[in-house]
Amino acid sequence: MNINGIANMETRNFYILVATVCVGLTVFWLSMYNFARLGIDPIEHASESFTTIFEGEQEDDETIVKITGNVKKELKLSLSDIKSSKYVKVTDKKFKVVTREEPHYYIYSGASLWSILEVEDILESDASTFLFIGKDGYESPLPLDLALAEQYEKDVILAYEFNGDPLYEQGPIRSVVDHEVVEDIEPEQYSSQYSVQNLVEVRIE
Amino acid sequence: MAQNKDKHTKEVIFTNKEFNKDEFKETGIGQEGSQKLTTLDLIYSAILGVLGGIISSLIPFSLLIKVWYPLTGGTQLVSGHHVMWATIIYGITKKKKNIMLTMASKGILEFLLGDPWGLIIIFVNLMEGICLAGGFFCMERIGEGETKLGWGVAGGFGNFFQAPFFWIINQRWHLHFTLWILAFMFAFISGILITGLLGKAIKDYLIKAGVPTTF
Repeated sequence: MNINGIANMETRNFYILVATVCVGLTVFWLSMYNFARLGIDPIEHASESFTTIFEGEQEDDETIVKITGNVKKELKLSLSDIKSSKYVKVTDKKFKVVTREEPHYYIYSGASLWSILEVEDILESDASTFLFIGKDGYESPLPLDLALAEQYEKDVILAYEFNGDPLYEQGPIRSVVDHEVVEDIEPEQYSSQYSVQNLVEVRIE
Repeated sequence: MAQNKDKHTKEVIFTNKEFNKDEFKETGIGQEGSQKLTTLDLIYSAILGVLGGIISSLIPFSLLIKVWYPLTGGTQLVSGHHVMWATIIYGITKKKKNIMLTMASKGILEFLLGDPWGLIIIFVNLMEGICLAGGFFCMERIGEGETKLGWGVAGGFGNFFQAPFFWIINQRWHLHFTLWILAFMFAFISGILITGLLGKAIKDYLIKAGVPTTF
């Protein structure tokens, strides 16, 4: 390779380096922006993951789901709270979950959301909707009317078991909403969008 | 004398094809420029298609990412392995139609193994194959057909199609636009690193190990 060839290669490699740095910085800052926007602490998340990998799943009495927003006081629920007998239990119920208009039938066990809100008596008088939020910042697309949770008490649940087994990577808690609850909402909604894995928050408005 | 002439002829063939003779073993199964598929092409295609189909369907590599990177779309960082099989087949056969054949085999196997996307998964695999072949075509036209840069960019093209396709079909409009950008960037980066560079490295090792090429 002559001197011109070497110079060309160096220029080419320089451009590759510049492109790599630009892409890396873009990914870094976009990620940081989303961590800040969604209130996720990446170091804490990595630390939790590290702990889970080396010490097993978290204890049942650690807070997993918070009920926040238009409530008398914020409610923190652990897995053992949600499994406790004070709430209405839904055991091995078949749910119709529609994805892209394709129905799937899954068997979940969990606690009725409405029973939790009712037993704990945390709703403000003007509270009207609820919204599910996942650990990755995913939010169900529309807030649902609390009247639906009351009307379909056993069709809107915080699930902790799938086919009789723990939820593993979907959990420890996820929301499950039967398609019957959302099928009449305009514009057309899929119940899968309301069945949020790794549920961490239920926001009341 | 005759041996020297023979050796010279082989070197000319390799030089003409712009292959580095130090890196590629001559296997005697070449077709001297023919683009027809040989039995060996079909065997490679079937083996890699089946391997890819099984691994894509049954091994959730995305869990690796979910543990460490919590944002939606992060799993695109490992999506490149779905297309890597097509780069390997292209490396050892140098036929773009073999890319399509491998991706078709892989897609059909994923469909038969119960992929939730049904027949759409075959279409997605074929589109990824077309994008990858297009990527290789473009890279070869600009003289990057055998460089890491060329393979990386071609792999990026190959792996890119599925990200916007699945995100649009899944109607993830409610997610912030920066998450869309990140997911698409991750798909392209994964294509560069896993589909292109890892695929090229595996191809090189296979050829060095004596796997017969068909070009």
